[in-house]
Amino acid sequence: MILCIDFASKKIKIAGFKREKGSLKLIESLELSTSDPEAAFGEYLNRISKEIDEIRVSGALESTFHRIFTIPDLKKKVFTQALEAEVTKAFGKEHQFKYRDLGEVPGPGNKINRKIMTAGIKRSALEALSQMFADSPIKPSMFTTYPASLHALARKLQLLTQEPLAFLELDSPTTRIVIFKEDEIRVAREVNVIPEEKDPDRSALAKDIYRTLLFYTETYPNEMVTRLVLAGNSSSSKTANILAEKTGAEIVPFSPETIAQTEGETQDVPPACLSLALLDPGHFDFAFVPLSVQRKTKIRKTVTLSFSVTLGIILILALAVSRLSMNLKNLNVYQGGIQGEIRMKEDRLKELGLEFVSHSIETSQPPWSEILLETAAVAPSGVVFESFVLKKLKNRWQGEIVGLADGSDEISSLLLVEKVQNNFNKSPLFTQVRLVEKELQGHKVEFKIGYQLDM
Amino acid sequence: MRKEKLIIVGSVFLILLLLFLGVKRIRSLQVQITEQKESVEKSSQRLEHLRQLEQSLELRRETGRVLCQIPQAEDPIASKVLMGKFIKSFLSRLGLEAEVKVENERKSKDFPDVVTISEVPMRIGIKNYSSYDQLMNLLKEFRNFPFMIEILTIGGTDVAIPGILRIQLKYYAVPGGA
Repeated sequence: MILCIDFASKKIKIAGFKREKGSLKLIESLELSTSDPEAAFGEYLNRISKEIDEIRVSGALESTFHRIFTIPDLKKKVFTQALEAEVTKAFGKEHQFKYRDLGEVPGPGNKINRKIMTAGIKRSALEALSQMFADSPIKPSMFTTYPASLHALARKLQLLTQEPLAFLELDSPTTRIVIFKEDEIRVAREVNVIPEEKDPDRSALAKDIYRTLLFYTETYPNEMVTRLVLAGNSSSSKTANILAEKTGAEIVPFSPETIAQTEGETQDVPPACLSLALLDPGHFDFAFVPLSVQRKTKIRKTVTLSFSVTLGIILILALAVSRLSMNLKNLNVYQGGIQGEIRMKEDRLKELGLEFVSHSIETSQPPWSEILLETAAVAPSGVVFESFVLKKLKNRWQGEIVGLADGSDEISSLLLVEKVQNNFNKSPLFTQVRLVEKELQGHKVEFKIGYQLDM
Repeated sequence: MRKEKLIIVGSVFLILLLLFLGVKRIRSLQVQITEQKESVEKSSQRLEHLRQLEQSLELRRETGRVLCQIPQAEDPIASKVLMGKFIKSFLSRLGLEAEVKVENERKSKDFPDVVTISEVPMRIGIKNYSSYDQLMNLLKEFRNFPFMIEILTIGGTDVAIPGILRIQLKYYAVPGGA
């Protein structure tokens, strides 16, 4: 159920609606006008809280304002600041306000201005309204002003034209009058009503309403309110006739049944409550949220966002860690398998000790016979090797040959040494051949050649 | 506003702490994974090497290309004497007069621990040889036994034993291989 609550100055009007197949159905309607309506309201709210899906509220007229401003067509931020300055200048800083852009209007010169409909509500009043729902499990989804919500109803009833329209909610002890022209809320007033017993011909009421209409004509010269919509408990045909006679305006009857169905016996439909039920909170320009609620919402959003981000990071990290842990576990298992197989192979190798030694000797010993034959072959005639050494140093076979070259003269002997070195270089068995030293001994040359085996 | 700031600051601190701890843990795991991968790589290489070695050794056993072992005694001194005599006799059969020095048997470091092989270091100094062929025949005969020549010198002094041809070598003894 959508519970719509209209806080009039001395009454609380409540109506509950249900949406059925796109249309509204009035479930219940009541007025709280006891000496302490707020206490009664609290009790009522607790009683039916289980049936409530949503709560919408319109505030008392006395703490609201509605004004049209004309603001130069500026960039959004500057425009908002200009509008805020205008509102503050007109009503002070204690109001929370919302606005609706009514479109362009020609300004001085070639400039373009924008016509802005504003509606404001006192912050303290809004907080007080919000506070009334402090104990309720369901908080209002929207607060608005009485004229702003009523405008939606007038639009739905197709009453808004270029001709001004006065909407009168005749009630006791106050009557509320709102004058609309198209999308503009031009006048909103609340007048005290003299009881019908003391004002049987309703002349006092007619006079008050007429004064309001006159005020409108003075404020908007050349414009006259020609249509009056009468709603409320006191809108009898007698009152309608008197008002038609006194103001000269056409009386348009308020017909809520065209919008909302009533259940069982005929029930009064408070116009403001019906208007609230018609609104779409997501697309309504004049939906107010108390600052305390805004703060709470902001904190809730911040907490939710922070929690989501933190949770997201935890999840990402947990996923990454679990994936890496899984990889590590798989690697450990794989490594364990390999180690097991290695142990099996090693056990088998223990049984093949002699074969191992044979293999090792075969692969690490140089071909001795070939080396000795090759060494003999590299010595040309006239060269004698005095000593030959081949030893294993750090897994490499290194050798050294000391010899004596005996040529016909020193040059021939030196050439013989060079030839020996060349022969070593040409051999596929030797590598890194170097002449370590050579020394003339008469015409003979003693030399030492170092080399490595190419294995 | 103050509450929101507190929540944001708290959340940022928590997120940074989580990121710090998470990244630290992830890095630690990555390092462990890298190390384990290297370890697996090494183990795989070792396993492959062992597989190939095993195949080769099995083939060697099947084809009978296995060296002969010199008989050894239980007593190390007796074994040492026996070894010296065997070498001398072996060289004598090849027509070579030589001096032989045999050292004590010890555990060989040339083989992995999985196979228990000991080595007997020895030096041979051949005083004379008649031809190159005789020398090559000696080296060829050596190939029938588990001898590992470390130094061979003709006319050099690198091996501390008298002789024209000096050889420093090891004899590998395989338990139960004789």
